[in-house]
Amino acid sequence: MSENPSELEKKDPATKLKETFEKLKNEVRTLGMILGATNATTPSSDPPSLAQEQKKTSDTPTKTDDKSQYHKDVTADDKKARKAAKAAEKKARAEKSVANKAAAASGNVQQQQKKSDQPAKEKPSSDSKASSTVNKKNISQENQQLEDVTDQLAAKMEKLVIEQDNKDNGELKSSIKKNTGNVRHMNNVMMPSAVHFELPIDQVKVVASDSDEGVATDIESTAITQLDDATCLANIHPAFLALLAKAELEKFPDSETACIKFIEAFKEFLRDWTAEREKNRSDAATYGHDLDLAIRPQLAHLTQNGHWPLPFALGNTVRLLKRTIKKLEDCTNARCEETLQLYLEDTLAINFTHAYKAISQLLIRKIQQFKKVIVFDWCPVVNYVLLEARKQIPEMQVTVIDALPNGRGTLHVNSFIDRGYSVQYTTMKGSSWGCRHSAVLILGCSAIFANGAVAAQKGALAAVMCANRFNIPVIVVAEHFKFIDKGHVNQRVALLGRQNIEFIQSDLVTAVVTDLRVLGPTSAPAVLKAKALTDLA
Amino acid sequence: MDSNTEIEELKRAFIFSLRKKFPRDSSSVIANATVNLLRKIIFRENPKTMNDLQVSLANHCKRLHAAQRSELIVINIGLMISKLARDEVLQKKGGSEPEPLYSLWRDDEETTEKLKTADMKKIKKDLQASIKELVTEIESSRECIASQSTELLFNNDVVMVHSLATSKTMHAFLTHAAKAGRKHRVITIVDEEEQSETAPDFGTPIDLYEAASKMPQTSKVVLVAAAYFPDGSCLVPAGGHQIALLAKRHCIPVYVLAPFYKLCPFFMTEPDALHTFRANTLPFDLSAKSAGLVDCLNPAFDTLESDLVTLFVSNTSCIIPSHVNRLKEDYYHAQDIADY
Repeated sequence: MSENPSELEKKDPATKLKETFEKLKNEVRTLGMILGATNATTPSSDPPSLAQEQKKTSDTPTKTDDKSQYHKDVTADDKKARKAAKAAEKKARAEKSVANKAAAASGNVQQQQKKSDQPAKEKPSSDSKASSTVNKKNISQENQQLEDVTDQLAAKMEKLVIEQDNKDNGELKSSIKKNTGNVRHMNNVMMPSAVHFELPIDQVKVVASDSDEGVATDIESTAITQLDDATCLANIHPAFLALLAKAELEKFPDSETACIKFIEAFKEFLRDWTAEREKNRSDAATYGHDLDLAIRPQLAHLTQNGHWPLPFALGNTVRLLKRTIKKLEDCTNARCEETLQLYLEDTLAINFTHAYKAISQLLIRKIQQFKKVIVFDWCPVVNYVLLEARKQIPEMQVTVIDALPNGRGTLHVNSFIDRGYSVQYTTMKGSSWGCRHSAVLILGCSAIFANGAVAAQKGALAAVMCANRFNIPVIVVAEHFKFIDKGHVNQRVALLGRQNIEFIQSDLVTAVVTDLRVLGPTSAPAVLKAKALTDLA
Repeated sequence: MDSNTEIEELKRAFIFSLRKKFPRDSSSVIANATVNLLRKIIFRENPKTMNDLQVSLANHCKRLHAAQRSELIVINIGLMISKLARDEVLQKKGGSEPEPLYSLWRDDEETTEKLKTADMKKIKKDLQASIKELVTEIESSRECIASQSTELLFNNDVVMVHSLATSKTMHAFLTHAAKAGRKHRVITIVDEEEQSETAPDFGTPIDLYEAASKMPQTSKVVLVAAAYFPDGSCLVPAGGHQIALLAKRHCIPVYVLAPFYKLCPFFMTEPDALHTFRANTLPFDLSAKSAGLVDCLNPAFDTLESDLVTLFVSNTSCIIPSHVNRLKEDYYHAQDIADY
C-alpha cells in the first residue's frame, strides 16, 4: 500500500501472498486475543458487535490488501500474475470466511459462555484459544498449500517476465524504428501492420530458424514486424542493402543485370562472412550448413519474406547456389570460401559471357540469310547477338519495336548508333508494318517454362502474332538458367519492381536458341533435365 | 477560262483546307466538303453530255487524289456523283440499266453511245437534287451507324476499342449503346499523345502493348475503318492489325465501323503506296546523336485482311466482308470504275 507499484511489480506474487497471509495471521491472532479478552470482561452484546467489528477490521485489511493487490496487478499488466492474484484472493476470501466462521463460532461460544459466566470463563478463553489455535493451524495448512501453488506460479512468472521484457523491448524497437525514418525508406515497405498475410510453409521455416532474430519474432510471427525491426535490418549485409537500393533507384532494365548484381553482392557477403568466421574460429565442417542458415534472412529480406518472389532466372541461380553450398566439404574455412568464390565466378562466366557468345554463334549462322531483322524491346542477349551479327553481316538492317515510345528499345538504338550503324525505330503501332517488311523476329525472354511457353515482356505477344501472320520465323534467345520448371506470375517481383510479363504459347514460336543448342520450344524439358534444373529439394 | 480558273481556285482551296487541318477533320466533313466542291465544279463547268461529266469528274478526282494521296474519299465521292448522274439519265430515258450479265454478250455500243450523248440540261435539276440527297446521307451516316450499336453490343460485354478519341463515329456508337441502357465495360486503347487530350470518361484506358494481356477478358472488338475495299479488307488506324490478330486468336468478333463513303471501288494492290507516315517524336538528346542513322517510323494505317473482320457496320446495315463487292454496286457504276 505504501510501497511503490514499481517495486511491487518486481516482487513475486509469492511474496505478496506471503505478506497477505502474515497480515491475516496477525489479525486472526488479535481477533482471538480480543475475543478471549472480551469474553472475560464485556457482556454478550458487545462480542458479536466486536466480533463483527473484528470481522470488519479483519475484512478491511484483507480487503485493502486485496484492493491494493488488484491495483498492483492492473499496473503490472500481467495476465498470469493476475490469475495468480485472483487465485490468491480466492484463497484469502476462503480464509476470511473461515476466520468469520471461526469468529462466529467463537461468538456463539461467547454467547454460550455469557450464560454460564464465570465457571465457563476459562473454557471460552481456552475454547477461543483452542479455536484460534485451530484457526491458526488451518491457516498455516492453507498457507502451506498456497505457498506451493505460488512457487509453481513463480516459475511460470519468470518465463513470462522474459516474454514481457521482449514485448516491452519490441515496443522500444518499434519506437526506434519510427524515429529513424531513413531506415524505413530503404525497406521500401509501407505495409500496414493490420494486414494479415498467409505465409507459405517454407517461409515459416525461415522465420523460426535458429538465426539471430528467431527468438525476438517468436511471438508476433507476421512477416511485417520482422522487417520493421531495426535490429533485424542490422543483420542484413550492406551488400544486399546496396543491391536493394540500386534496384529501387536505377530499376534494372532486365533480369540478367539483376542476376549479375546479385552474384556480385553475394560474393562480397561471402568474403565478409568468411572473415568473421575466421575470427570466431568456427569449425569448417559446418561451413556449408552455417552459410545456408546465414543466407536465409538475407534472401528473406530481399524478397520481403516471399511476398515478392525472385525473378525467374535469379530464382534458378539461387537454388543452384544453395545446392552447391550444401555440398561444401573442405578442411578449412578459407578453402570453402575459395571453392564458393570460384563457383560464383564460373556461374558468372558461364551464364553470361560464354552463354552470350555461344548463342550468338548459333544464331548468326541461322540469320545470315535474313537481311532484315526485327526485335522487340530490350534484352542484353539480343543486343549482343545483333551487334555481333552486324559485324559479320554488313547489309543487315535492324528494326526495333518499342512497347512505349522512348522506352527500353532505345537502348538497342543507342548501342547501334554508338557504333555508327543505322537502325529503324518504331512503336507498337508500327509492329505490323515492321513485320511485313522484315524477315525474322528475334525475341528475348524472362523465362521459358516446361511446357514451352515463353514469358516475355508485355507487347511481345502482339509482335509475335504479326510475325506469324506474315510468316516470318520467331526466334527466342534464352540462356539455360532461364528454363524453369514451374512458377507463377506475381504483380511485383523482388529487385525488378512491377513485372510486365505475358506468356507466348509454344505454337507461336519457331525456335529457341540456348547456349546448348537450337531447339524447338517444346523441348524445354530436355534442357531442364540436362542442366538438372528440375524441382530441387 | 474564267470558270476554269475559278475551278482551279476552288480545288486549291480545298486541298489547302485538307492540309492545314491538324488533326485531320472527320471523314464525314471531308466527304461533305468534297461533295460541295464537286457540285460547284459541275455548276461552273456545265458539261453537255454524260460523257463530258464523267470524264471531267474523273480528271478532277485524279488530280485531287494525287495532291492528297491518303484521301481516298475524294475519288469515292467523285465516282458516286458520276453514278448518280447515270442513274438520272437512265430514269429519264426510261427502262433500267441492262443487266451486267446481259451486257456481256449483248452489243453494248449502242447503249453506251446513248448514254454518252445524253443531254445534261434535262437532268441537271434532278442531279442537283440527288447530290443534295447524297449530302444528307453523308451527314446522317453517323447516327445510322450509332443506332446499330444496340444490335451489336449487349449487357455485360467488355468492348475493346481503338482510336476512340479521334473518331466521332466510334464515340457516337458507344454512347448510343450506353444510353439505350446497355451496361458494358469499355477498354480503350490510347496513344501517349491522345492521353493528354480529353480521355473519354466511360472507357478504361490501356496502352497498346497491354492489349494482348487484356484480350482474354474482352468479348468484342470495335475498330474504325479509314477505307474498305471490295475484297473485304480495310484500312484501319495503325495498331488495329495486332488487335484484330489477337482477337482472332481468342475468337472474339471484330466490328469495323465503315460508312458508305469510305467504300473504295478499287482493289488495293499495293497498300504500301498508301501508307502515310506521321511525324515522330524522339527525345531531344537521342535525336541529336541519331541524326542520319535512325529511321523513325510511325505508320498511319494498318491493313486488315478480310478474314480478320467479322462485320462491317455501314449506315444502311451490317455486312459481312464477302458482300462488300456486291455493295459497291449500289454506289458505283461499273463503267466508271472501268474507265477510271
